[in-house]
Amino acid sequence: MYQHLNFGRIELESVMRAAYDQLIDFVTTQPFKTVMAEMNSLKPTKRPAFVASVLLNDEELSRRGVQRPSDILIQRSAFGDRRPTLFCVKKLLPEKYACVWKNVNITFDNEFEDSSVSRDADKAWRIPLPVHLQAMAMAEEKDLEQVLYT
Amino acid sequence: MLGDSMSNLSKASRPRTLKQPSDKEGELLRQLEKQDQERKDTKRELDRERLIRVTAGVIDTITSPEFVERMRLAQLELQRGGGMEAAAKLLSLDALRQSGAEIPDDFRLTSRIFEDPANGLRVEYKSEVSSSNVDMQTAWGACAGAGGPLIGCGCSGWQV
Repeated sequence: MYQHLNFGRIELESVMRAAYDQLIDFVTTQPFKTVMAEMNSLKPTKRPAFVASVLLNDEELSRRGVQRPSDILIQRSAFGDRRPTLFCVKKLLPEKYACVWKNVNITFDNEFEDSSVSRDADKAWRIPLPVHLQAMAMAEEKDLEQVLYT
Repeated sequence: MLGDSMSNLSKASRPRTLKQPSDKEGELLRQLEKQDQERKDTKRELDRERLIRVTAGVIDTITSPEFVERMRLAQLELQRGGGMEAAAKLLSLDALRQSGAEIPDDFRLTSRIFEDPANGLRVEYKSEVSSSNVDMQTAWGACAGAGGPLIGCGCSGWQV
């Protein structure tokens, strides 16, 4: 058992593994891979619009043969470190574990050089940009570090 | 097809050098090569074995007793009114390493917001310049992940 908690490491690992396996099953289906290839064939500036019109739209996904299970979420997000992220495929963990971890996800970022995004705490723990503002900035090829938002 | 027609040419009539592509053709070729590379990258990134390996690494890191305890404390701190600074203090990579957690070099730990984090409902998106309902983005949390451009993450959210 973890100190102060009513579950232990093996249990948490097992719950996370099962959730990740479900996500991996989903993102490795051929229709989903084909959608990713379609997205990656676009210029990075065009990908945010593709995410909005296809990845966040079950009808468009279905038209491409992707059936999203109801307990798998496809969402946009933004990070404090300003890395240019496009969307993630996410599964919520049972409430019991929410006191430490709420979900696991597989995140799809737009192109960036790893060294261009800082791991320093003062950069990583900023208020993230609003998701729609981040998408606009990526579409306009703006450096997310230069986007002013308070 | 090009190969067939070239092999039909007599040796004497073959051009000594291939015609250099024009700037426009060169640009097109570069774009096609880039797209080919990205398709290959997608195939590689969405390889099941690779994803299992990357996510196993994330699970191993974020379930260590030291990491879990820091996450628990960060949530308690926020319930007491601490803000992102409190979370950052507890959950910086340096602080975690000092507490004994083993953190890989490529690991990232950051604040993160999701669109509609509670239910996963999506905000209607009208155009690239439309304004979403920003009120739906008031929850943020910690996100820990590794794996390069396509990363496995564990996230914990708090309402602030």
